[in-house]
Amino acid sequence: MTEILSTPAIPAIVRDILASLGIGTDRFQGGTLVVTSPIDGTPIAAVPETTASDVAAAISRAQAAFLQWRTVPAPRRGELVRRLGEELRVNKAAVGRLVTIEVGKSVSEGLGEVQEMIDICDFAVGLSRQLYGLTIQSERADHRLIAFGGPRPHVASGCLRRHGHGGPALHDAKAPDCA
Amino acid sequence: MGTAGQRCTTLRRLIVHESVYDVLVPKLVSVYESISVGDPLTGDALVGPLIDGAAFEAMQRSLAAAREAGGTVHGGARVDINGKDSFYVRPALVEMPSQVGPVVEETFAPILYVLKYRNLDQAIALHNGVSQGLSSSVFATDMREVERFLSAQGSDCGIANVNMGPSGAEIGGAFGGEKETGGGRESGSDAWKAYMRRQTSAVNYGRGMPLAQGVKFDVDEGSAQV
Repeated sequence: MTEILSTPAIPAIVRDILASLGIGTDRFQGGTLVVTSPIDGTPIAAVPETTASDVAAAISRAQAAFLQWRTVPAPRRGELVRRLGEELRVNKAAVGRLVTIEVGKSVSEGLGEVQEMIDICDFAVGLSRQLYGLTIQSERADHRLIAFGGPRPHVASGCLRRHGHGGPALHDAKAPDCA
Repeated sequence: MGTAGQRCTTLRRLIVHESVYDVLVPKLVSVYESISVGDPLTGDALVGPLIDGAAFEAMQRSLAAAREAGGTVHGGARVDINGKDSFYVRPALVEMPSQVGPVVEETFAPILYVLKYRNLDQAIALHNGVSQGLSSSVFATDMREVERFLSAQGSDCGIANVNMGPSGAEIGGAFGGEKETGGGRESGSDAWKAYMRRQTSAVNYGRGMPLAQGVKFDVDEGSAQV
């Protein structure tokens, strides 16, 4: 059996990448949920698990934030998404490598996952200044109908480790809510 | 074979016309035998590892079931890379006499089942004869065949491509599928509207109070006094 230990320090690479993204080791070490890299099976993180009360608290904070966020005009909300896209551009190589380490995609495919997030951000920024509604003729006299989109309240979003998909930490960023 | 066959849009079934089967399939088998499998961080391998041991077991179960159903399996064995805790495999190409067993199931592994067809209607019937309906594609230069594949009598999937594989969608179009692989659409086209709260408002700028659908619900003053 020829064992090729190609990258002996995958956990170190993960630490360096996350440090470069401003994520300290306390966020992904010392927890109970062990994450391994399919590349060589080594543990790369032990993520703290969220309790039911943590989730309830997070939902409460999200609801409080939404009450503020819904008053921000759509093009201004789009500006935040534009900046998210810029962050992804700046860190594309690092985040793409993280995808490769976490799910075993080729480097090119890992980068493609990040590019998809960037594309989604661009799309959302454009939409944020093109949120048209409809005015519809009413069947009743002296009436008119209007249909218009507004911001949705927060939605709970699961982080599942799905086979073949992008890193769970990243995947939810694919649908930034410009709305 | 991209993402070691673990993409939701990975090509699982290849339905080949009988006139080109004997030329195409041996070429494909030789590609499957020679494609680079390896550590994605250290080289330019096109096929990386399976996600874990359970994925490897699932793949081997599907290959065994395919053999039992009369399939001829090329490849599919474990490749010795990076030790016992990682699971690299040679992608498998499986020639199947009919669409049964693992062919109609999702395994999320690098297995391509190859089936033979005689006419397009038969191919489309095979194509649609499974419980999944996310992504599909046709390779053809015959405009009638292409348009038929894209028509109401053609592919029943949420994604139907022409002269390319079924994976690697752009974000500009709506992404999503039908049947067991359904669940709405995301990204472009009009799918993004689901991310917003659509509100319909009826505005009355007159003095009357007419109801929709001509419904009458008038309360006279007499009956209002109890």
